[in-house]
Amino acid sequence: MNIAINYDTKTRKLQLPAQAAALVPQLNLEIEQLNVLTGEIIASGSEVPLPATLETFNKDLSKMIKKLYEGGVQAFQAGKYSEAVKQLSIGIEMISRRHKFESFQGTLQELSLFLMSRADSYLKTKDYLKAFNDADMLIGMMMCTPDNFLRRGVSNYFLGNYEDARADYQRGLSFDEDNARLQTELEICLDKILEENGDYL
Amino acid sequence: MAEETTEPVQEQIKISIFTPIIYVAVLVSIFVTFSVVYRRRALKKLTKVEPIFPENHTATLYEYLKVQYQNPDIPKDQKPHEKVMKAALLRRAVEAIRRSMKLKENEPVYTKLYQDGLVGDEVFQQYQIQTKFQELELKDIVQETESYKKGWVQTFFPVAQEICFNEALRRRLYALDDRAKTLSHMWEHYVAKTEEVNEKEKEVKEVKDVKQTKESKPEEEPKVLAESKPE
Repeated sequence: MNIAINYDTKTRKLQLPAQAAALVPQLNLEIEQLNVLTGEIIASGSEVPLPATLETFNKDLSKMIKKLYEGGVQAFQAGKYSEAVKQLSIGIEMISRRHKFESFQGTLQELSLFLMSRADSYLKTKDYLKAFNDADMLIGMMMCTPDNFLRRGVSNYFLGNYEDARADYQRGLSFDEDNARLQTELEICLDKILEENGDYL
Repeated sequence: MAEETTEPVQEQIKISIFTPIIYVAVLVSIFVTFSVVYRRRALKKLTKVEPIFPENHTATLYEYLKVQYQNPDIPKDQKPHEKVMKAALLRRAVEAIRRSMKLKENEPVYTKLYQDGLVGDEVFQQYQIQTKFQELELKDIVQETESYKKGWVQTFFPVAQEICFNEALRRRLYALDDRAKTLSHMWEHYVAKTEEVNEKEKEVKEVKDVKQTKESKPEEEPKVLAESKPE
């Protein structure tokens, strides 16, 4: 390696000189990630990171995250949708700051709850693009949940992507064919597609 | 009459004891030369194969730190801490797991394309070399793990896998903002178009309304025009 990497013995962190960091951003990112992991291993107190189990899942953080979720849901129920988005976003940020070697399954469960609620809040604040993104990520995480297809379908509908919305509703119905909400939305969407094509039933 | 029988005369050639030895020696040296040249060429060919993945910074970084960690000239307090080394090794394993998973995911694709003749020998060889390389990388990591703590290898890979999955999740989460920008840029075009169409439709409707009002009540001033008049 031709680039000199500085090592701080006090903080136990590596650092690239500014010029080199600009030249090799990937290496710089890698060093940052390494510093984060080193910090987390030191903070864990054990000689080597312990295998991820429910016992090693940070329970204090779980409590704080749960409080934020409850706050977000309460704000949503009270009709304060922007406030709900704020609280849920903070919660998501907190989840992403968990130690990297903590249980992935636990993180996934927490994150999916937050994303579901945030997607709903975004739909209420008419922030359809953000709602689409959250719903899309949810579908990537939980493929077989019809409600996530409903969320993405509604976002697509209001973004003007009617064909995509139709596909989403139909996929959702393939998992739960009796879902009344999906059926209604699909009908509305099909009518809209006909209208867009200059046709009607 | 006695038949004359001619007995075949066997010629005896006397050769030196060194002749077969020289023969074997020449044969062996030719074989060795061929083997060396062949291997060199094969190695040269291998080095020319373009890797599927970009440069592995995690492995490079670990090697760099290891040189410093094992360098007897560097004072002990300036050497990288053991936990830094462990973290670097974990990150190297995370990248190795990620790459192995990517290769495994794409295995059926490569095999199918190669069987159907849609990709050449070179591409398939590139894939096979990369797979072999990843196996060697994982073996190397196992050896390194044992050098820090005996028996760590049993918990090392499950931990590395958790880190790998958690990082993948975070990468996707952090990509949401950029993705929103790209999508808005892409979809804004269509939204703008729809708005233009709506505005045109509105104008046409307004003009029609005006005409209709003129025809029915010529003496009255059209409402829409009155509204659009500047004060």
